[in-house]
Amino acid sequence: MAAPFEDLANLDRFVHEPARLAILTALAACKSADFTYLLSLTGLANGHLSQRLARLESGGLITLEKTFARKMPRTVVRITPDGRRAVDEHWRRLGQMRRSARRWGQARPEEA
Amino acid sequence: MELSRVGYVTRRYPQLQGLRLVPLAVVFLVSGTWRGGWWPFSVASHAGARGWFLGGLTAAVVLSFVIRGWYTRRYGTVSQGVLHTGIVPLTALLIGMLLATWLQDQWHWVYPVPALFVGTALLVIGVSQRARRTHYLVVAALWLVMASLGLFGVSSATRDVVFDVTIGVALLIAGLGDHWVLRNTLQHASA
Repeated sequence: MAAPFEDLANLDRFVHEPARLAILTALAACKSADFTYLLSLTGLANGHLSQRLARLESGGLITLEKTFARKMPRTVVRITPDGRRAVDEHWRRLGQMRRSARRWGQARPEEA
Repeated sequence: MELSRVGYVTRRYPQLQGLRLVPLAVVFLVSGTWRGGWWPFSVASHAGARGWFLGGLTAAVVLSFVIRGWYTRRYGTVSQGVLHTGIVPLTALLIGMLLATWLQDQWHWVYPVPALFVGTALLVIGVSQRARRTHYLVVAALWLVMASLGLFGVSSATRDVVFDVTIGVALLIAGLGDHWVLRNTLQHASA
């Protein structure tokens, strides 16, 4: 049986970065969210969140739409089908790793 | 930030805006305590009391929208598809209530079936979402105890008081508990 940490190498590191994973997980749970919501969710500073969103957008995982609400600029963020697939697959792999780590942990004492 | 909370809170963001329930809770608490004679003022007629109550309900609904605006400014906005809003469970609850009321009218059971239905619905929320919304178990227990009072020979006047107070307390517990879940996941955005 392959040790679970060997599977870590196969994880999508672009998606696995904590803030990006939180953003994608949140967006996968809704139709869209605005910049303020993602700010309050991640606790990042404005600039850092903008950078991460720009990277996710350039990776084709989200779309950004700039609108105005009561004359105030508003950024609406949506996950793309590719983004949804990537985050679903990522969580599936993490779950798989968790299960195999548990099995591995149980098997080790017997091997020793 | 706890990642397992992210999807949960985002999916239920409008439902977790618990402070929106507080004005409604206050209306029921005032009504219940007034019925119990704990307020120094009296209302001349039954219609007058009903007017005050309906006025209070209207103010609570208006205040609920004001509080929603506060949540939007503080934590932002999330949009859900129609099927993922509260419409589906609310419709199911309404249909269940109508069915329970019909059953009660048909069979005249000692235990009030509509109240039992609401208590069960609250219990289901508390059990199925116990990791985050344990407070619904308290609400369900309160509700079921209140609904059982008739079985123990409690007078209808006392039950009327307890009914309003229970709704008020249940709304307060549910509202503050839900807000606490939200507050523990989201931070005040300073955008």
